[in-house]
Amino acid sequence: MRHVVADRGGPIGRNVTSNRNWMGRLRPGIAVRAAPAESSPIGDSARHWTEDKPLPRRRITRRFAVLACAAFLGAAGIASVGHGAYILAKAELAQWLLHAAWSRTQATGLPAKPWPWADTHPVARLIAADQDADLLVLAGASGRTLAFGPGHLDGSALPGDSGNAVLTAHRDTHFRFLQHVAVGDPIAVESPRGGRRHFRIRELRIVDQSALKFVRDTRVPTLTLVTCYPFNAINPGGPLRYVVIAEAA
Amino acid sequence: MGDPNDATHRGFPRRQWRELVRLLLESVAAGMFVSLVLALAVFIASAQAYAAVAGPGSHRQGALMLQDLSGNHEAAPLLFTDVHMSITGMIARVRVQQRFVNPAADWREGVYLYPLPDTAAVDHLRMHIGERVIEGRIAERNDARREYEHAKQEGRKTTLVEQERANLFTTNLANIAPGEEVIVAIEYQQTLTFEAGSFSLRFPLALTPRFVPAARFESMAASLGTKAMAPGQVHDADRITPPYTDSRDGWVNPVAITIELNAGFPLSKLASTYHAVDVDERPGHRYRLKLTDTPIAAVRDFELTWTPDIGSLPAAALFTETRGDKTYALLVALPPATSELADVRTPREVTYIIDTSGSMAGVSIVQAREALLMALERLRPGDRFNIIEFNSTTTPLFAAPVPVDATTLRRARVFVSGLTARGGTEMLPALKAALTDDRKSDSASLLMRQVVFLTDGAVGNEDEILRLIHRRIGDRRLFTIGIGPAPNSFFMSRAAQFGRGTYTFIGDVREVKDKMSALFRKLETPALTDISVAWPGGADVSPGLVPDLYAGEPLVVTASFPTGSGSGNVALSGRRGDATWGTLIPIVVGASEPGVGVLWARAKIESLLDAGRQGAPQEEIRAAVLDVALVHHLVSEYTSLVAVDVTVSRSADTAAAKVSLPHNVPEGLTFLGGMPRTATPALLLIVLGFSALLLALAIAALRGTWPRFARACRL
Repeated sequence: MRHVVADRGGPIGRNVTSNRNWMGRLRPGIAVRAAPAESSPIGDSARHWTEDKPLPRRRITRRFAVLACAAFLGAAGIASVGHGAYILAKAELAQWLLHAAWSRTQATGLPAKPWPWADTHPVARLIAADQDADLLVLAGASGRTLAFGPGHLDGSALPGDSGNAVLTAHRDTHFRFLQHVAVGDPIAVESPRGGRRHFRIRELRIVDQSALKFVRDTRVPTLTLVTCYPFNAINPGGPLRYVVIAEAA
Repeated sequence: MGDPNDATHRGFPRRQWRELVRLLLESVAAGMFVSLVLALAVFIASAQAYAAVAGPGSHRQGALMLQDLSGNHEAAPLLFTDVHMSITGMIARVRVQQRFVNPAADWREGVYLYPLPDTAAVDHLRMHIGERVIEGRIAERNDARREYEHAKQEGRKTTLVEQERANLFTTNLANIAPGEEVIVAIEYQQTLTFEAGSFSLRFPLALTPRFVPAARFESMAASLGTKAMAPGQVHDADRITPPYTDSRDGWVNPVAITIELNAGFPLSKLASTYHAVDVDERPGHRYRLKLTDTPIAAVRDFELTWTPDIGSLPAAALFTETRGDKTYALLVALPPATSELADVRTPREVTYIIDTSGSMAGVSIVQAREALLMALERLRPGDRFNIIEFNSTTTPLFAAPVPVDATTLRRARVFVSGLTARGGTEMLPALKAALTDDRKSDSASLLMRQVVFLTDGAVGNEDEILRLIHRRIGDRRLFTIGIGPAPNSFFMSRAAQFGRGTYTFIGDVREVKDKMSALFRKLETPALTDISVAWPGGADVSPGLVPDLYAGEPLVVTASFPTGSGSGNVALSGRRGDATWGTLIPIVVGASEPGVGVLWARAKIESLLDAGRQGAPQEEIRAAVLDVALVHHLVSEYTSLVAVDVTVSRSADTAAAKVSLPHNVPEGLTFLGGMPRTATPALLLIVLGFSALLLALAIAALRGTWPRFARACRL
């Protein structure tokens, strides 16, 4: 490692630039050549440069800072984009695995884990045909489950049963489609026993998170879908929630 | 770093190294700075976009509550509750002062729904306005309601106390001026619980939200359709479901409790189960108690227990009160302890029903699982058992009760450990499943059939369920176990009574072991059954049908008879296993004990209502209840207390908003908990990442330009 550092601090100049790619990184061939310590041509050349012919210092500093800066930004950028893409991909991919678990649940009537280490299981299937949305709802509405699918709020009624079922999901993954729904649109819920119940959207509402409270027991089976608002905001921590209330048709 | 033989090191002077390190640090700092600036820029941009989208649009919006059932978005009156109990013998007289303070700048009408003990007989109402005191009077429920509404319209201060359920009351208080304070004081009387040598008294301080099944709700909403709702809100105004405060915003409704206990005999133990109390002992076995940390948050029930010294309690006691031409009597008798026959263990068939509805989420389900696992331990070979889980749906472990063996027990343990709480409380199907009669007549008929029912009783259709239990119970015994910080104990004690079993309340997970052991003793020892009370001279005895008694439980009956006529002996008899038991208690009308009449009236009303649940015509029941309640000044399903101020305080041109007072979420319950975040940082990460990449590209591309530019500038 030290050799590489010495190399970087040393002959950065017209004569060596050809050994580097556009981001200032060493090409593989150079790195291998730099490995043996005793006969290192880089070590020699470094001594040569510093003892006999000192470089104009400011120029080296600037160049190096600019390159390091670019490298750092580039790496951070790739990592950041990768992480973002991973979140979206995970949300998409998990639904595939969940569909498999759901067919097992329907076959056996027992909760099935979508992957062996999962701490949740699908409890219902939510279908909004108009929006091309077909989602498996997971037990529990925690940040962990929401990464994989819409979460069913513990303590609220099960989707399709009498009472109010509260489902939440991320506005930029599973509940992205909610921005296109309108009052009167149909939504269907499939239960683990296979039956489907049809709902119609009764109300759309934007509320502050602190004012969000749910009716526990409603006259007719009700679905309350909650996600963040506005849909295209970049900042994930906004206080507003988009609430879609659908009643059994 | 410092290997002296390292050629590279030797070749590099110290200054060069320092330079190098500085350079590295500088570049990292520069990178960080750029990223930060970028992030800031993105956030500012997004916040602006956000403000633009959140502006007025096609949707209704704002801090309007999605639903808190009452349509509350006005500041509710503040409430301070002051409870004073005075306990003598078997009777507790309790005064509950509700101090309403209106913090708002306009007039208010407050509606407060609150629990009282199951046997509470509310017979007094006073409204304190400054120095003035207005006495409430009893009236038929609809008349009282009309009188209240009328006075409210006129701008008078008025208060109305109604009974929603046996243990659930509402105080309505109209026309509270801005900044004003009005005290509504109610008084009630109750009998104490005596069990296994100890007295106990429970004062409910929290309300577990109840589940109201769909069909039932429809009719209730129709009959109570007077509530004004803002347009567009969910029209589920339900009188027995109050609004709740968010526990994250702190708690409301502070409560202070003081108790005068005139035990009348030396005590070996006096303790409050869930709250710390200061005890001040006075001569003559009198005690004065108050809560150590006054006031407390109304988040869990208060329970006081005291145990008399062994042998200081008489086997039977009779209290009487003479009111004009009627004399009322309260008889408490303790049947002798079980004989050694109790050691013979009868094989049992036990069905456990466990409530896994959403209201059980949190501590309750933990207690229930714990209790159920303990119950499984007590099963012996030869017994049969089954477990039925229910929330919105009913899930039995086995199709029918199975014999106890290692395999079935293991399956049961796995089943119990996996129970989680969610969904509604559809209790009827589960009870139907447990109470179906599919027994094979011969071999199973020797079994003692028991149903153990673990729930918080958070239901609104109590009567329907009680009727079912009454119809289907057969020779079974139903034991109810109340779980959680604030179960609906009226329902569960009544269900146990209909099922000829007992009710056990477990308020804390640490109590599971003790309380369950006590219950197992009852389950395993035969009860005193077929109890009959023969009162001479045509007395009206309540309850008419005495429930079975288990070890350590006293017999409590009340009676009313014409003054002077009741003389002779009360004959008590019953059966325990194969043995018969009987005793005679002489009737001695002694010094008048105030309150016995009210107790009789309350017991009478309860047995009338029970008759209604068992199928007697509603109109007859209503007339009979009205007769008793109006004479005894009692609040009941058909009668309310109302107090009206004589002076008009609110002028007609100002309005008074009607607001329901919120409750605290009972301690440990989680189902009203918070929501997760519903957006991922994916978009933010991607935008930031691409910005960083773009910038990196730009820097790399302009790399050579800068020095030239700098030189040019210097020149």
